[in-house]
Amino acid sequence: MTSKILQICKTLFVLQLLVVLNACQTNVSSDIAATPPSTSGPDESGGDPEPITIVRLADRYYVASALSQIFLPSLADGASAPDIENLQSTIDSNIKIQYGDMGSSCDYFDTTNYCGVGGQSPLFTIIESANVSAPALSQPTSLRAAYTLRAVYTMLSSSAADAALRKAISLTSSSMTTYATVNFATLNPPTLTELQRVFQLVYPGVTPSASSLTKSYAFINAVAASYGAKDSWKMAFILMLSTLLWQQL
Amino acid sequence: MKKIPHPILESRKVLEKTLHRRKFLKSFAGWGGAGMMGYSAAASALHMMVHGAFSKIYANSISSEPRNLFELYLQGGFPAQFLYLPLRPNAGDLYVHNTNNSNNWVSGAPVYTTAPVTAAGVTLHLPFIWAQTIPRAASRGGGFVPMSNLLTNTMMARGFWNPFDSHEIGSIQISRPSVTAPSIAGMLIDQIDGSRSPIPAVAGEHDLAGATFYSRTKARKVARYRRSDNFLNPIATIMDPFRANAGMLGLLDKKDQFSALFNDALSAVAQDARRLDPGSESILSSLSGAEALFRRNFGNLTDVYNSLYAKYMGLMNACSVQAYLSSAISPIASSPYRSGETLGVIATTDLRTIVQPNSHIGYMASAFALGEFLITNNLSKAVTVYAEGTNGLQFTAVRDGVTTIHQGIPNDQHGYGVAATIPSNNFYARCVAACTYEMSLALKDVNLFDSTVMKVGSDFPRSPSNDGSGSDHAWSANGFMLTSGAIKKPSVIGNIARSPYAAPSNPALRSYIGTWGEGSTHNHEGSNGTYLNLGHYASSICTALNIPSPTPNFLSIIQDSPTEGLVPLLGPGQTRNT
Repeated sequence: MTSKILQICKTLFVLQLLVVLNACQTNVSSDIAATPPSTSGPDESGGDPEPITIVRLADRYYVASALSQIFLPSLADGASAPDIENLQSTIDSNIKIQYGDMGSSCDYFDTTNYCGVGGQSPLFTIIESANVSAPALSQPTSLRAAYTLRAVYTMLSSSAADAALRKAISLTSSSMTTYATVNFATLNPPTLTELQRVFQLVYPGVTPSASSLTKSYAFINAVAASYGAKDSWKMAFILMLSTLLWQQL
Repeated sequence: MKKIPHPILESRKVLEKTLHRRKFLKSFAGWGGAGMMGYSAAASALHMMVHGAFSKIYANSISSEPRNLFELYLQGGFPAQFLYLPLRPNAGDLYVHNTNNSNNWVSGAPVYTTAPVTAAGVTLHLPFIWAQTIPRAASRGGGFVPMSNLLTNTMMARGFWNPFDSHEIGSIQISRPSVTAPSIAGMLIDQIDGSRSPIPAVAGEHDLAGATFYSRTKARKVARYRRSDNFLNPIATIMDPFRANAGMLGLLDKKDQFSALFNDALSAVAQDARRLDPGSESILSSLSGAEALFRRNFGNLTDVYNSLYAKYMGLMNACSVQAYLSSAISPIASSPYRSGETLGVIATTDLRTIVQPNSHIGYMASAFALGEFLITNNLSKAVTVYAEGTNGLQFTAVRDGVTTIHQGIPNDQHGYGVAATIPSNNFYARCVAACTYEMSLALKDVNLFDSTVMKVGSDFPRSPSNDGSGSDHAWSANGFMLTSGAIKKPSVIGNIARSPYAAPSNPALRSYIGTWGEGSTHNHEGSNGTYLNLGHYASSICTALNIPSPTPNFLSIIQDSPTEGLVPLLGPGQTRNT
């Protein structure tokens, strides 16, 4: 009991000291005071470092696969080989070869397919470029965002844009449910139900709130009023993919 | 000399005398009935307060926004005594000469020449080229300006011991001293939001410089430039992800017409889509950073790069036509110092002609062009670039009866001989100074000089051979040069030994007698016998950058004063007997 009381007294004394110490500190940056610095090693007790935020993002294979599932039709769908090659090339050049920014180091298969840059030797590519520069955990950066956005916008504005959009619509439309049945001449802007399907194509297993659907619908309708149904569908996919949160694991 | 209290050390002592935070919180949690596995509400509140106390202690020494880092790595072990490793900076310093310490040629003999140079009221005795001039960019009127203009905002630190004698490890550990912690550039970008540095960190595509980078939070090295002098455009390479084609810009323009509705919808979608894990905000900020750069027009990047490249190459070429030796090196044939093991006997009569109008430092023009573009446009806060040896030289040497024309000298100058390296290294040092000074002016133009630190460093400097035949690795004598608007007065910090290998007990080392910069003891961290190492090196640079150190147990030797800017914590560097 006595030790408990002593401990309480000691605690209160230290509390006072700390209050004084806090009050005595001047010239404090509000930013730094609000965001304590991360430490690189154990604290004075030898315990764990201060917690830090590390966002875990999908690697280039995941992102390429997700975009392919949405936008890349097949010959079986009825798409032309040049269109498929065009879209595949866009995904490869913006996502698959960007091991430095999109993550996942290069193995021997990659060396001859996606990581061989500028005629470098496999040894150079694997050891120096990939294993040195590729992040162990992909992190959100403006470069990563740029590559993703450029892949999406380019596919929806290239000469193969119709093929990409036709594929994406076939996965989410209520009436045009196959690549072959998508008809741009009779296409209407996405409905609320179709917008929900677009959302869930990008975020599987997540139910969008009424608020996000309503706001998305307002944006899509405004685009449709000015540019027609086809562009409104493009903007629906651009909107859902622009958050980039679908890359967070 | 009175010991200057170290702010972080003193603050740490205060807290250590009170109670350890973690133990305190755990005991408080137990008292509150929350058990040992978690903190009670009261303990949580206290945690915040205690954390605040630590943060404010930290903030006392790191009181503002992290500064930008421009790091120039001189590959190969640059002979720093020609520029930023002054061997006797104070009048009356102890000094023992060694032939390969020489930076000048007087009366037919190699000598180490210093000159008193005064800047901002401080007089230092520096390698004599500091009393000469450096060229000014044509766009600023051309001509030459005193090199002491650069000195005003420059701090030199010396006497750091590398843990190993290795180019590879040395080059890595000056940027990342601890394998268990981020690199200095990594620590820097860990501290900042991505929107303030869209391209978080850039490194030159040098195998070693690239390997130094490691960050553990928001980002890591994400863009690089290729080894190039003029055949590749590193700026275009790095900006390539933000290059938008016409079709893409058309879609972006359409979207932007409804930006209010789009942003409203995006926020709502993001709210639904976000994970419970923290950090989603940084993903969204990366989106805004990317979109902004798609639209930002930097002009034709080929023209931009060529212009910057030509500016820095022009400065280096101009360095070649200035007198940087106090007398001619002629005739060389009669000098006992004319040969080097690698080169053979130099046949060129007047060694001043080694440096030609097109002489330059390998990759340095690209390095500065890239750094100036990225930092002055607020595109990156951490740019690490590298330069190699001197190119475009011309001299002949005869070895084993074979006459060879030489066009370059590397920084790793084993067997290169004092005769050839004196003019080459002085030229190199002036090039570094001229380019650094020009970049400082470019930073001033956009009001970023005070918030940027330019660092020059190398694997290690050189230990000289007394017969003048070359130099070896001075891995116990590392140092750096910092230039920043936050530095208001010049200084040389760090104690060195007078004559490290003078003891006859080790005859194998006696050829390296002389004062060449080996680190000596310091009155630091509560001891009068502290040797500085790369932990102190990193902590000091981190202090200059306003960021936590990856090696916090090795305390900085400089501090960031609210009134005086970046100033030494130690007294002026001394030369000690051992």
